[in-house]
Formats: sequence, C-alpha cells, structure tokens
Amino acid sequence: MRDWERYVRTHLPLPPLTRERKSRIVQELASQFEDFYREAVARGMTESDADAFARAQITDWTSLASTLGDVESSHVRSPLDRWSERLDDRARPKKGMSPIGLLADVRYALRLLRKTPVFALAAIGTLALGIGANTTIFALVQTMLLQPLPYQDPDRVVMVWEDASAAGFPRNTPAPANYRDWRAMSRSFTDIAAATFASATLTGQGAPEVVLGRRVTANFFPVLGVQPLLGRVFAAEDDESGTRVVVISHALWQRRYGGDPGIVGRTILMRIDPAGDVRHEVIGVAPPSFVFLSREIDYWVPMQFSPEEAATRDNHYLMVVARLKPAVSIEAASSDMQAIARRLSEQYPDTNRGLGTVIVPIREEVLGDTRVQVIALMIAAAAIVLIACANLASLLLARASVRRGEYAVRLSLGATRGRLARQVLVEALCLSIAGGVLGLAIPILTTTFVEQIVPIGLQALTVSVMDWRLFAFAGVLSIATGLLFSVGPALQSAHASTADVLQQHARGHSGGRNRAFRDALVVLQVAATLVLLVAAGLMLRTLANLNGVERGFDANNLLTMQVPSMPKYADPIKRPPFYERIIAGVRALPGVRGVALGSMLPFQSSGNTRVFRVEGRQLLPEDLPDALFRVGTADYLQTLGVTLVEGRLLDARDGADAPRAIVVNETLVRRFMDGQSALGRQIRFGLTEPPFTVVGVVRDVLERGYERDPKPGVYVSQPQGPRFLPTTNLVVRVDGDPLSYAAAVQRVIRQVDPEQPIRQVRTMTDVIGLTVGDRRQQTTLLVVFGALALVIASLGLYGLLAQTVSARGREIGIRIALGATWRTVTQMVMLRGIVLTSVGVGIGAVLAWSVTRAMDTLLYDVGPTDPLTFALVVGLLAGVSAVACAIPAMRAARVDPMLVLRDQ
Amino acid sequence: MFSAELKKGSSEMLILSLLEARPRHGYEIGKLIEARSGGKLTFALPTLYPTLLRLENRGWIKGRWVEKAGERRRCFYRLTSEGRRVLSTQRKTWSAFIDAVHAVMGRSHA
Repeated sequence: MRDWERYVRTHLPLPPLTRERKSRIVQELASQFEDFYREAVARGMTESDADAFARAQITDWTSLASTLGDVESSHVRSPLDRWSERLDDRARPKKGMSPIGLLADVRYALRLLRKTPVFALAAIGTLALGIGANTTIFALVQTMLLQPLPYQDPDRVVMVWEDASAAGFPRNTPAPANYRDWRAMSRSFTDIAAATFASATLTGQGAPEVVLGRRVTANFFPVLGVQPLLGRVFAAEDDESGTRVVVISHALWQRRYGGDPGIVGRTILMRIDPAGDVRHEVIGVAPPSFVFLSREIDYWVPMQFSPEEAATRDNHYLMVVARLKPAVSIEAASSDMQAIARRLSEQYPDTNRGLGTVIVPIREEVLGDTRVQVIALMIAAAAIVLIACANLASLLLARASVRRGEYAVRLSLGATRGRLARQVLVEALCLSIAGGVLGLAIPILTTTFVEQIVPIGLQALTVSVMDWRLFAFAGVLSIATGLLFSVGPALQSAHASTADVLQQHARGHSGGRNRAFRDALVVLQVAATLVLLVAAGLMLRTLANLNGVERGFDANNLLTMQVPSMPKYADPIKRPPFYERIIAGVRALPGVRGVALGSMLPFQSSGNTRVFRVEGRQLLPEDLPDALFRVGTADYLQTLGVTLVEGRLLDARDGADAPRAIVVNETLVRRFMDGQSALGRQIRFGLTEPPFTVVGVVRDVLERGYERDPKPGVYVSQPQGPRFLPTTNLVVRVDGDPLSYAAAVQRVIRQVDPEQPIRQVRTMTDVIGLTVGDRRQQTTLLVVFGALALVIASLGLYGLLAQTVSARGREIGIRIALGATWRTVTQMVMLRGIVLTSVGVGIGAVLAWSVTRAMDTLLYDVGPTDPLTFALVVGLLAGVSAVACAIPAMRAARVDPMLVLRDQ
Repeated sequence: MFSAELKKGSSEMLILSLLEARPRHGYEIGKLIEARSGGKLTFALPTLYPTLLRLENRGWIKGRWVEKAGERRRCFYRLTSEGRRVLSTQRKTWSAFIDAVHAVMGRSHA
C-alpha cells in the first residue's frame, strides 16, 4: 500500500497557501486515492494494477493545482477564521456565541495585545489598581457592613448608657445600683445584662501573660443569644455563689492552651486584678466569631457584685447591654428608660441628679463614624474604577480609529459587524480579567494597613484569596469593568460602514461622534478626580488641624508602657518602694531625661473623674464639680512637659507625710475660682478625705483626646493619692527615638521583678495616633486614590490630545505651511484641553460640593465645602492638566509641514 | 455523455442534494452520482474535489475528519444551514427552468 499523502504532495504543485490549507487538501486527495485503490483491490485487481488504477484518477496535476489555487484565493480567510477553523476541526461549532468561536477571539485578542505591549501593560496596570482598590474596600465593607454581628437577632440588641451630658459624658457607664434598678423596673427588654472591664495575669504553663477580660452578669451571654463553642456559659448560681469559673475566648484557647479538647473542666492559674484567687475552672469556650465591644477580650468571669458594690450609685463603670422585646421599638424603650431615670433622680438626688439614659443599637455603637468612612472609601474606590474605565474606553477608541482600516477590510470580506464588536469586547475582557487577577494581590498586600480601619468591636478583617466572596467580587467587577469600557468602542466598530470607514481612514480623521464621546470621557475623568482630591484634601486638613491643636504637653521623645499592678503590690506600703526601684533603674539609663508613673496618661481616658468641692465657695446650680483625677509619681508633670501657668509642679517634696498638695488645670480655675488665683485654695474630694492645697496651675492637657470638651482636671502625687488609683503607666522622656530605649527599660523592670508583666510599649506619638488612627488610614487611602486618579486622568487628557495631534497632523502641517505661527498652533491644541478640563472641573466642583457634605462627621475644624481646599485642588488639577496639554501642543507646533504633506 | 458545461452547472446542486440526507465523504459522493445517474454522470476526482472545496469555502457545506468504527479516517461533508437554503432555491430555480424548457420544446418521447 502506498503513502498517498506523500504521492499527492510530490505531484501537486500548489500555489502558496497556509500550511493548514495545504495539508487539508493533500489529506483529502490522499484519502480519495486510498478509496479508489481499495475499491480496485476489492474488485480483484492485483496490488500494482490497483495502484495504477488509483493513480490514473488524476493525470493533469498542474491544472488541478491551479483550479484549487483559484478556489482558495477567491476565499481569503482572516486569521480569526483560520483559528476558528482549526479549532472547529476538534469540535463541532454551535450556533451564535459558540465557546469555540469565543476561544478563537480570545487567542486573537491575546495576539493583538502582545503586539502592543505598552498599551496592554498600561491598561492592565490601571485596571489592577482600580479593581484592587475596590476589592480591598469590599473586604472592609464585607467585614464592617455586610457581616451580621455575632449575636442572635442582632438588631434587637442595644447598649443602654447613662446620659451625663452635663458632666461631659453623653454616653456614660452607669453605676451598679442604677443598673439593678433599670433591670428591675424596665418593661421594654427581655433582659438587661452588665459587663465591666477586667484584666488578669495567666501563669502556670508558659510565660506569664496579661490578658484582658470582663466581669459579666450571668445573663450576659443569654442576652446576646450566644451559645458557647464548648462547655457552658454562666448560670445564675455562678454569679451568686462566688465560685471561680471562667469562659475563655476561642483565641486564648488556641493560643495558650493549644486548642486542648479537654479544656472544659480544667483548672487554670489566673490572677484577676487587683487581688483574688488564682485557680479558675474553665467552664466554656466562646465561639470564634464572638466579639462584644472589643475583639481583644480573652476571658469572661461572673460579675459577683459584693453587697457594697451592688449598692453603689456614684461609681460608674458598667457597660449595659439589653435585648428589646419583640414588639418594642427603640423610641418606646427610650421613653420607658427616661421615665425610670427621672424616678431614680427624684429618689436619689445626690447621685442621680441630671442623669438620663440613652439607648444605642449595638451596630451603631460599634460602627459609629466608621460607617461614613467606609462609604466614603467605597465611593472613592468606585470613582477610581470609573476613571480607569473612561480612560481605557478612550484608549480603545483611539485604537479603533487606528484599526478602522482593518475593520473596513474585514467588513468588505464578509465579517459581520457583530463579529467585529464581539472582538472588541473580548479584547477588553482579556485586559480587565488580567487586571482583576493582578488586582487581587492588592487587598492581600495591604491587609495590615487596612485592618486598622475595622473598629475594635468587630471581628478582625480577614483577607484571603480563598474567600469566594472576595474572589467573586473581583471577578464580577473585572467583567463589568471590561464591558463598561468596551461598550462604546464596540458599538463604534459595529456602526462603521465599509465605505464610510475606508473614506475616513483615507482622510486620517475620526468621526465627530467618536470625538465627542472621547471628550465626554475626559470630562468625566477630570470631574471624578476633582471629587476624590477634594475629599483627600479635606481629610489632610483635618489631620493637620488635629496635629496643630495645643496638647498641653510635649508628646515628642516620650516612651510609654503599661506596668499592670500585681496583687502582691496591692498593699500601699509595698507599692512605693517597687515604683522607686523602677524609676531609679530607668533614670540611670544613658539618654533618659525623666521618668515617672501615672494613673492615666493623656489621650488614654476621657473619664476617671472625681467629684470635688472648693472650700469656702458656694456651689452654683449650674456647676458640675467633676474633675479628671490623675495621680503621678514625683516629677510626673515634669516628665510630660506640661506648661506651668502659676505656682509650682509636684515633686519629691510631696511625700506621704508632707502637706497635701494639688495641681489644677486652667479649666478648673476658670470655672471654679471666680477670677481669683487658685494658689493656696483648698480642694476636697469625698467627705472623709482631708483637703488638698493648690500649689500650681497648668495649661489644660488633652487628657480626653482631641475631640472631647475640656474638663476641670487635677494632679496629685502618688504617695498622697488614693489607694484605688495605682500608677500603672510608665512614661520616660528620652533623647532621640523613644522605641530604641524600650528594651533597656523593660530589662530594668524585669530586674526589679521578673514576674511583672509589661504591656503596650508605645511612643506617646503612637498613643495619640491611635486615637485618630482609623482616620489616618482613611486619609492615606484617600490621598493614594486621589493621586492615582490624577495620574490616570492626566494621562487620559494627554492621550486624547496627543492622538488628536497625530491624527490631524496633515491639517496642522497645512496650517503651518499657510503661515500659522507656533503660537496659534499651540493655542489651538491647548484650547481644547483647557475647555475639557474646565468643564470637568466645573462638574466636579458641583459634585464635590454635594458629596463632601456626607463627610462632615469625619472632619475637624474644616468645613465640608472649605473654599481653600477647593481652590488648592482646582489649582493642582489645572496645573497638572496644563502640563498634560502642553506636551502635545508643543509637538503640534514642531510639525514639519513638508514631511506631513509629502507623507500624504 | 453530457457536455462539460452542463455538468459543471449542475455539479454543485447535485452534491448539495446528496448531502441533504446525511454527511458523506468525497469518494462516496462521486460513487453515488455515478450510481444514481446509472453511470451517465461521472465526476472525476479533478472536478469533484475542487467543487467540494469551493462549496466549503462558500460556507454551504462543512468538512470534518471523522474516524468511524472499523473504518479509516475520512473527511465527511455535511450541509450547513446556509447550504440548505441555497439548495432549496436552486431546486426551485431548476424545476422552473426545466418546466420552461419543456414548455418551449414541447413534451416529446425520446
């Protein structure tokens, strides 16, 4: 038997055809030769006769070859058809949008993109940033707004605060006796629970570790509707009996106890602040998702109010959470609680005068302003993608103009308009999906930065590519983006008629509709960029304003850390020597300028106040004699670097046996000294304590952070301070970088007592930063988004004008040949850029004017329509677009008329 | 037997009609034409194959390499929907033409 394929190939002098077509023809002819040969054999011919019979079927090879050549050349196939044909050999094509045809389109698109790598990379990069930014924000939105809070029916869960607005505490923590009355008297809730802050030192297995926890009433978990992961939660007996039982967090269980499945029933060594039994029985493990007001809480123990504690109305420290009865609205519950508060204030005027209640849904409590922040970021991220889409649509349109020739040829050869449009869409989708895949890296790379925006009361942000929602979001966004920026260009390519296209191509000019559309896209980009920049600018001004606020002390070069008090130093006799040894050790370190311990550092607490009385002064009805009460070791105020107004600061003279001395702030003097000097006046706290004599007045220190109203404040020395306020915050003034002293200072403390835990080693600047932390992250994101938008939009403007200049090269050449000057040509090009920018700026300003109002709550000391910010942003945008216009304009002026005309 | 012009004019229609029932390979088409015409019509390979290629390039038929059980790999041609439409118009035109020819020539018994 013969090799018929070889026989045909050697005999048939085919004209130049593609390899596929040639081999297709050769194979088919060979196959038929084989049929003739077999038929002959079947009829009884010898093999050589059959061979001759088959060969006799074709004698004039040259004529056959030329016929086949004619047939083929009358049918020119586009590369696209060749691709699909080759693929069709493998699978039968279906009608319409067959997956095979689509695959062919994809391959064709990839090949085209490979030919224009700069365009492809720029487009993919832009899309990756846009889609990445949106996916990052989506992860935030997912964590903060979409995910339900980890409680049963979370919309019914509310926080009940005491309204002590008059004293500067609009959402204050109520006192135990008031909480108990609320619980007994209210009709609006299925139940009311209370929790309070606690901390403990875990010992035994592993290094000592300080963990944060809560004392909670037995109904705490039932009110939230939370079931334990393992074991049980508290029963009423646990709260009454005084047994040492604990529910631990999932995180603690994993971290310290290695997820021991036998943890329930185990006894762990846990010393709860300030004193108490060490041994606690673990009765349960909370579910991993459980968070209540802080995700840093690691254990819960029963509240176990002592009889005195239960009766107190002037020590405010409970966080009260309640579950609304099914049919009761927040408003109804509020009026119910207000009525109760009124009755209590009549019953106990000394402690409850002027106290109301305020009910806050737990979601609002936890999210607060951050909801606005996230929505602002969401809008900003969406604007980025919109700008990127506008830009790419413009680029694709420019490409479409260049490819009009190709389209015209393909149309005249019978390609359908649908096919052309589909090709454009497929190209765009290739770009946007590549951008989306790259963009997925952005949320992962930025997690540690972005997670700081998530409020402490929510679960931590988790970003993982394995998260199908994130994946799905990026996927859907990629496809939507691809469709969005290619619909215009695709329609354009589908609309073109053969003749029209060929003519326009010859003229080197793109259609008016196309041009108007591209102009609109540039205007859109400029407008969206302006909105982003204004938002970023307002946040920058807010941060600058916050930093510029007079803090009342020198926050630079301060190292701080917490040295939690341990039960063995609960005895006031043992405490001072311990502090003195630490202070002496740290002071001896080279570079240390001052060291002290304080009860609460500035920016740490808005409360910790005590009611006072100025001796010899009549209390006025509107007075609220409630002062921030701070205790410090000798030189505490000196170490902070406060500003002395009058008298002296506290120091080593003010020991336990010395006359009781106190330093007050200016707000106290202003409100309670009636214009007289405070020095020498006596101030009394409580009924039994001896009075303090004012020895100094200092400028207000921002004890309560930036945004709370100032309050009267006092400072007393540790030996003269009350027992219940341990000075657990170490503050060290140093030369140079505070953190470089951290290790040495911790070594000193460990030498004094190796068991002493140390927490939250931070610079004072960081402590302050934490209070504006989420705003700083948000500002950074907005600034990055704004810069990104500015770059993309100016590239868009530049691209449009540059392309116009090259497309109108002939016209410009003629103008120059006819005597147009450098100036008129640049003006002509720049004018269009200036007009587009101005329209964009106008629209953007109107948009920004309405959008930034929603940001009002995030701003500090700057209005949402701050004229200076608007002016600066418009100036910046104008400057950048001037550059973007000037480059193509200058190129236009350099057009050599001879070259252009000859080229035509 | 018939002139080349007559054959050429009808070859496309004949091929299309043979593919109407089911896909067939090239050799089978040639043999069928010969058999059905009682040997009066034969299309040699140098005529048949370029015709097939032309029909395929026009999108009226579509060739596909198929390996059937117990047989060699062959290219089977099937009628596309476009081809089906062309065939039905050609049929109509053809019978109208035949009717016209008959009308002009008068029915006679050869």
